[in-house]
Amino acid sequence: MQYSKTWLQRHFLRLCAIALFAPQLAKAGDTLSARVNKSPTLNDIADNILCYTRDQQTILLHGISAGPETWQRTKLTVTCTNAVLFDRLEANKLANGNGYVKYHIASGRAGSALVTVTVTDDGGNANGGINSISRSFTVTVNPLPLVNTSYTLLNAAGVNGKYAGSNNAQTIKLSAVSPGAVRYNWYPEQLVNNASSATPEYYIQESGPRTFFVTVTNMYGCKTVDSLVVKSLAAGKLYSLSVFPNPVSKNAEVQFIIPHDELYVAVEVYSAAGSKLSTLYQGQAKGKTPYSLRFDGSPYVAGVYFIKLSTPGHEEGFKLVLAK
Amino acid sequence: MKQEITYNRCLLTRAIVKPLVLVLMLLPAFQLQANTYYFSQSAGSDANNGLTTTTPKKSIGAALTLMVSGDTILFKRGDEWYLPLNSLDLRGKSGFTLGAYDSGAQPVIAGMSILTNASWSYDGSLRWSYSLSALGFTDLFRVVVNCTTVLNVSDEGKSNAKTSVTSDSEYYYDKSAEKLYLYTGSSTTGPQYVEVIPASSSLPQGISTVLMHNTSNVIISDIDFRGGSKWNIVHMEAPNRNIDIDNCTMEEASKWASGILVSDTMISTDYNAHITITNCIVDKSFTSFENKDTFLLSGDGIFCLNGVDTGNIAGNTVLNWGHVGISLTSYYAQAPYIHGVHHVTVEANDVSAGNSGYMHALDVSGLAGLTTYNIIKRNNFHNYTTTCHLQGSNNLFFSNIFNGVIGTTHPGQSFQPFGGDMVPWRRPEGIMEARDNWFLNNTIANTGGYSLWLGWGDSAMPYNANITNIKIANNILYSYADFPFKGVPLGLDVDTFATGTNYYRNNNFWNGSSTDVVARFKKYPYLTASGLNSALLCSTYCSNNGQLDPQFTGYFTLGSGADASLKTGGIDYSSYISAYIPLTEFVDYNNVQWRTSTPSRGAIQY
Repeated sequence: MQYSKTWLQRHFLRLCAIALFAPQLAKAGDTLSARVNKSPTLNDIADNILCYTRDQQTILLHGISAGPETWQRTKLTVTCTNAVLFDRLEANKLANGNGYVKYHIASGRAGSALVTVTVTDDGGNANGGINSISRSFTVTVNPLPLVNTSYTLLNAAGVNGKYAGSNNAQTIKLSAVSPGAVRYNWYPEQLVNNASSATPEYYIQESGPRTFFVTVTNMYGCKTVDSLVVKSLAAGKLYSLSVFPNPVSKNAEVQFIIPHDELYVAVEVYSAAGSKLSTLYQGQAKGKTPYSLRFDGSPYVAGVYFIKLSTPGHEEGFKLVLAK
Repeated sequence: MKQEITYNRCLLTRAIVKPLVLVLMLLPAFQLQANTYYFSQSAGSDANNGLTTTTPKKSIGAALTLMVSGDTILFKRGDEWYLPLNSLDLRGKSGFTLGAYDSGAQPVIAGMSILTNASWSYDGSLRWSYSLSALGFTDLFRVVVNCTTVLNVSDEGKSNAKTSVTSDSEYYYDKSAEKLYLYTGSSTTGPQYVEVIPASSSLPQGISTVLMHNTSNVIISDIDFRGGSKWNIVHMEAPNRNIDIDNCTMEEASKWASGILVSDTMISTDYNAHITITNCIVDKSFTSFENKDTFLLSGDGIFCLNGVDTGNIAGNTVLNWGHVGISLTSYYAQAPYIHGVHHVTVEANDVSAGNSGYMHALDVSGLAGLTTYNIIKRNNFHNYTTTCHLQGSNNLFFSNIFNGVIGTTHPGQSFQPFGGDMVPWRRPEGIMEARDNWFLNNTIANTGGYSLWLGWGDSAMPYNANITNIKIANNILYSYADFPFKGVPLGLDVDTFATGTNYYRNNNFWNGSSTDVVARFKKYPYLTASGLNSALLCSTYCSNNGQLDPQFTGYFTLGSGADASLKTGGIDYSSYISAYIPLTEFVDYNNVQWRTSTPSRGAIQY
C-alpha cells in the first residue's frame, strides 16, 4: 500500500491531535455521562443471628456514598418485614461514609425479619440515573429456653426430705422442664447422679437449703440458667415453711411442705401487730410435695411480717423482713 | 348629687380577696403544667406557639426559654441547627426532656458553622477559598466536607500554606486572612456542605455543643450532637444530677476533643451524680487518611474525670477516639480536693479504635482512693491499639471480652499492645493505685503483646507493695504474643517490682499448646500454668491455673469439645459478689446469670 506524503502528513497530524486531546475528550465524555446520576453505594450488611435479649443492638454500616458525584447529599432509610419483632428500628448516617442501624427486640419476641437499608442521593433518576441503593439483611432472634424447675422426694419411706445421716440418705429427684431443650447441665455436678439429665437425682447429704443451678440450652444454642433451692429438713421435723430471700425488697418465694395430704391448708401473711393482711394459699394440699407461693411486698411498708402455715393439726410461723 | 359609694369590708373580701387568692392558688398550677413543644428548623417560626407539629417553633434560643420544669422539647427529625460559638446551654436548668419527633434522621444540633455553598471563590490550581472574616472565626478545630472529615495540611507535615492543599482530603486555614482553602479537583465546582468547628477571639477554645452545670433531672434522647469546642462535644461540669442521655449521636469532634466529658470543676469537690449514658454512638469521626504519624492523637469518647459518683454507661458504641474509648479517671493536680469517680457501671458497650491509630479501649485509673467501686462488665473491647488500664481500687471487672490489640504505629504514642494492665504510675500529685480489684471471667484474646501485665516501674521508687489484693480468676487468656520480651509469648506477666500479694486462680492460658510456658512471675522468667501454681511466692495465691484448648466457636463461646474443667469449677465468689452487687446483676457477656458456685471460665458461660 502506498501513502502519499501529503496523506501521511494529514493523518499524522490527525493522530497527533487525537492523542493530544484524548484526555480532554474523555473528560468531556465523563461530564456528559455525569448528567446521568450514578448509583450511590453501601457495603453489604451481614445477617444478625442472636438469642433474645433486651439489650439494644447496633450495627455499623460502611461504604455510604453518593457514588462518583461526591458533592451530592445522601440520606439513609430503613424498612423491615415483621415489624412487630422490634420496638425500635432506625438508621442514621455518620460522617466518613459510615452509618448505623439500631434495633431493640420487642418484649418477648422471637422470629426473623428482613431489614432493608436504603441510601438515596439527591441526584435524581432522570435519563436512567440511579439515585438509590438498598442492602438487606436478616435479623433472626432465637428464643431463650423457658425452664420450670421442681423437685420431688423419691423414696419417702420416712419423712419428707429428712436428713437422716449418711447411712440413711434420701433421694430427691430434681427436674427441669424446658420444651425444645437439647442440653441440661446441673451444678454442682458432683452432687447429682447425672448432671446432663433433665431429671437427675440428688442424695440428701445435709440438712438445710442447697441451691442447684441448671443451664438449659435449646436447639439455637441459647441458654437460660435457673436455680432451685432444695430444703432438706432437720431430723424429726415434718413440716417445712421457708421464705427466700429474707430480708426481701419486693417479691419472695414462700415454700411449704406438709408430711401428708390435707383437705385444708392455709398460708397467710400477718403484720407484726397480728393483723391478717392476705392469704397466699388456701385449700387442699398433697403431702411431701413442695408448694411455691409468691409473696408480693409492694403493697406493704418496710417492716417485719409473719408468714403462718396452718393445717388442721399444725401451725407454724416464719418472720419475714421487708426492706425497701 | 354626688353619689356616695361605700364598700362593705365583707364585700371587699368576697369580691377581691377571694378571687385574688384563687388566682394565686391557680398560678403555680398553670406554671407547673407540662407542655410539649415542637421545633422545626425547616418549617418553624418562633412566632408559632410550638404546641403542635403544624405550628412548630424554630430557634434553639426559643427552645432554651421553654426548658422549664416538666416541659418536653421535641426537635424535628431531618432538621439541623448549627450553633457556631453558641451552646445548647443547659446550665442551671432542670426538669425537662429533649427529644425528636417525626421520622427520618436524628435532628442535628451542631456546635459548628455550615458554610454557604455559593460563597466559595476559585483560587486557582483547582483550589477554592472561603473568607470567614465576616464570621469572626480566628481558628478552626475541624473541617468536614459533605460528611467527610479532612486533614489540616500542617498535620501531614506539609508546609502550612494554601499551596499544600492538593487533594480533597486536606484543608488549610489562613488564620491571619481568616480564609479556608479546600481542593475539589475542579475549577468550576466548589466545595459543598462544608462544616467547620470554629473559635473566635473571645472564645479561643470554642464552646461545647452541650453545656451542663448545676443541671438536674434532664432526659435527652434521639439527637445528633456534633462539633463543639476544642475539647469536647458535651460537657457536664459538676455539679449535675440525674442526667439521662439515651440513643443520641456524638460525632465530628475537634481533633483534640472528647465526646462526652463528665468532669469536676477543678476547683472544688463538686461531682456529677446519677449520670446515665445509654445506647449512644460516640464517634470522633476519623478517616484513615487523618491517621497520621505526624501528630499526636487525643480525645476520649466518654470521659468521667475526677468528679462522678453513680452513673451508668451502657449499650454505647464508641469508636475512633485518639486516646481512650471509655475513661474513669481521677488524677489531676487538684487531687486532694477532688471527689473522684465512684459507683459507675460500664456495661455492654462496644468499644473499638476504628480508624484511630492510637486508642486504649478502657482506662480505669486514679490516685489512691479516687477511682473506686466501679463495675465494668459485659463490654466488648475490640480492635484497639493500646492496653486497657485496669486499676483504681475496689473495682470489679467481669464478663468482658478484650479482643484484637495490634499496637500503635504512631511513633509519638506508647506502644503497649497488651489486653490490659494493672500497672499504675507516678504522677506529680502522687502514686496511682491498683489494689483490691477483682478481674473475673474475662476473655482476653489476640493481643500483640502479653494478655495481662501486672507490675510497677519507676526508678525513683524501685518496689511498690501497694499493687495488691487483686483477684484475677476464671479468665481465659488466649492467643497472645511476645511483647515486650521477644521470643516467648506470654499470657501473664507479673514483674518483680510489684511486691504486693495478688491472687491468680482458675485462669486458662492457651496459645496453641498445653506445654508452652505461659507466664512470668516475679523472679521466675517463664512458667507453665502448673509451674505458676507451684511457684515460690505464688503457691499460696496461685491455684488451678491451666492450659486447655477452649475450642472457641462463635464469638469466644467454649466449644462443645472443650475440657469440662473449663466449663465448670471456677472459684466460688458468691459471697463477695452478693456483698458488692446483687447476684442478679452478676451475669455473663450474654446477660445469662452466672452460676456463682461453679462458673465456667471466660466471659461466656458454658
